[in-house]
Amino acid sequence: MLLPIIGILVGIILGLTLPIHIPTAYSPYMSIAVLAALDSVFGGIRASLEQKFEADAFISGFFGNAFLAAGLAYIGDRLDVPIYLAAIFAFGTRLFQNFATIRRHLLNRWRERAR
Amino acid sequence: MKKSLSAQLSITFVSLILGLALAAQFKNVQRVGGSVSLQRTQELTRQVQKLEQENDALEARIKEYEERIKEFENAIQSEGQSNKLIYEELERTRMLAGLVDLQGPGVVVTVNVKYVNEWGEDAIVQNVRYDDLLKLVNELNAAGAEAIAINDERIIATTEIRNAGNYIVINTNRYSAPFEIKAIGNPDTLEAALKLLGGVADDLGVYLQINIKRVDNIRIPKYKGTFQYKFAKPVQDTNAKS
Repeated sequence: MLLPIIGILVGIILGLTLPIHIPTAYSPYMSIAVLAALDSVFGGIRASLEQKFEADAFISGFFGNAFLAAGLAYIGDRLDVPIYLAAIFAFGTRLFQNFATIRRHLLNRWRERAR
Repeated sequence: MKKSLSAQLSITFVSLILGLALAAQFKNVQRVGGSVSLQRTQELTRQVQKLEQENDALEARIKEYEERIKEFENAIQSEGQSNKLIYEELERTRMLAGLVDLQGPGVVVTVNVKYVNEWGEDAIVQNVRYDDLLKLVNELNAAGAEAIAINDERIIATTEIRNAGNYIVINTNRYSAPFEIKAIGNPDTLEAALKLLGGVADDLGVYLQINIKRVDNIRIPKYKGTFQYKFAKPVQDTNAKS
């Protein structure tokens, strides 16, 4: 459980120190990709807690979701349809659901250990 | 156990990328000031474009009308004597309405904020308020000014002088200090009217820098806006009682 947190921290530090600049025009697509990635990470943690984790499905899901979400947002922008709202809604809902499940798993584990 | 380790590793790898993306996005939002959403910018851009188009169209129409007025005037001038009188009357009316550039002797009044040294720092005593300008314009009119302009905004019958935030709006354009009031009229009378003991210049001089200068030849530009009468109509029956 510790490794992913370290990963995020290292990533944030790297991102803040390295001179990476995303053009402002792509900022909204990037934000949706970030949301998709966040969703994937929570999904992965949940799957690993449920002992159902598959690395290939996880990695492909991560990149697939991120690119699909950004792509859909881009197409939506061209067509003047706010498709990105769908992405935000779907990922947002799933994020909270995944978090709830993770919480329950951890609570159960803690209770068992306390017994 | 092996499976769990590979799971941990792949999640770690993905979180690393997520962290990178988060940080990059964070930096981006901070740099741009992300509180303005893309939608809002698009909406505002669209509004600006629309208004610019409208503006262009209106300017073209003003030009068209001005040309037509000139045509009429030329036609009238080239016709007989009675028409010449009408033309002269028209020119006089246009002068009254503030639709021609005028020049002549008068005064130039500059109004600026006064600074006072307060604990070693220069501070503004008071901002120029709309009523300061109104008082000056009022006094100049009372002294027989024939044409007045503030910062080259001709003062006409419908001119407003009012506060809007830190600005003063004159003929729908925003200005802030310093203000330059030009007035055509008898320079002696105008200057004396302003410099009366206990008069406007005295009053405003307490908290503003007022500078009155006589000038032999001032140019006052014409009113640059347009007139639109939506509600008012000329009375047709002059005998009817209101």
